[in-house]
Amino acid sequence: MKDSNPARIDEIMLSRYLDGEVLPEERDMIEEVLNQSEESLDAFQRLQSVSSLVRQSMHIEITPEEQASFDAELTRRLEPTTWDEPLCSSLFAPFKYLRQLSWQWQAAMAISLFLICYIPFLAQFSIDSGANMDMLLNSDYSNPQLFFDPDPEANFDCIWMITDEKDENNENNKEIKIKEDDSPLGFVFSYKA
Amino acid sequence: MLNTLNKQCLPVVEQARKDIKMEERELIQRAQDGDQEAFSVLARRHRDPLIQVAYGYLHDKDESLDAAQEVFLKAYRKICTFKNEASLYTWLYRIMVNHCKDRLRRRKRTSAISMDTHNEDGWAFQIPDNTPDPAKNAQQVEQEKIVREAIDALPEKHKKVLILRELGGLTYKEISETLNCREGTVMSRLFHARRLLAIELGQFVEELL
Repeated sequence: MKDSNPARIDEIMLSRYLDGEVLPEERDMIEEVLNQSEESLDAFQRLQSVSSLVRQSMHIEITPEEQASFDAELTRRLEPTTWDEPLCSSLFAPFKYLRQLSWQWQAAMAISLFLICYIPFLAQFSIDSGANMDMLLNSDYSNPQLFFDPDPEANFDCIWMITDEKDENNENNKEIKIKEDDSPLGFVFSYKA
Repeated sequence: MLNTLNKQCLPVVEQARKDIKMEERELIQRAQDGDQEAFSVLARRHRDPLIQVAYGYLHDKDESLDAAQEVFLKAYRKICTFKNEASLYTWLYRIMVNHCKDRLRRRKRTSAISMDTHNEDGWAFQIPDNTPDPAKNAQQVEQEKIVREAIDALPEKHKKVLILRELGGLTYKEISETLNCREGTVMSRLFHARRLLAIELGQFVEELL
């Protein structure tokens, strides 16, 4: 005979009990309450019914034949193919190992590759100072040379002379005068051909 | 009775799970070294519950089998990135949930492009085969349809937890690892999903009581 006003259990706990996710002492307590409280038992049975409705309605029967054909198909697709793959996949095959690395390693490898390619490009210019100016200035010169030439008497902190080795008469020399100031760049420069 | 069953079976199930995990580590290691047979063994182990989860999303048997194939292929390609501190079980489920969501998105887009079953090039679009199983009676078919619709109408986060628990058979801990959330969240989402379904499927629930 059930009590008319027994203790009730939280329905979330009933849901956990249904899934077998309660501690042993909680389980004993819940079972005791379920034996006494009609209301809790009803709530539990509703949860149980929903669970079995979902399982029944969404369950598909996979026959042994279907399992066997699934396994055979998967084995076939897992096997590395050699001749029937397009050429590009064999060309890119080495990269699949790179893709398995973590993104930090991939980034480090990309930066290293960039530096390896870029350093020889920079090395073809022999620059005494102001390496970052070379891209701006050397476009018309086959072998440009930069010279640091401070001129204390002039109103500049330094002058860069750009000469061309092939230009024996120094007719095509170019100079850049640089002066420190308070601008956001920290300096101004003027360019004279 | 459920409680007696739980008391007797749970320790055995736990022990079996531990044994499987031990052996599974070796198989994963071998698969990571390129042993295709080891991966096939792992795939056979997780095949059925994964197909069930796919069916929970896609409601089509052939498409679910196809989805499971693709998930295993994806997993095989990425097995080297799998870290042993996680469980393969939850890793595969995570791939499956994302794959099913992608498929549903694609399906929606395809049906938005055309209602015709053939496009301009003559290729047939894949339309889910919802033909009822002749072995089931009309009432059963109707009930399944209503339950499926009720599950589909659930909020996505509730639906995910419900499918992983009821069809995948995952524990709360495994679901929390799969969905990257806390166990308490899993517990409350599952309860709310069941409560919403109980309201929606009131008539069928009453019949079962």
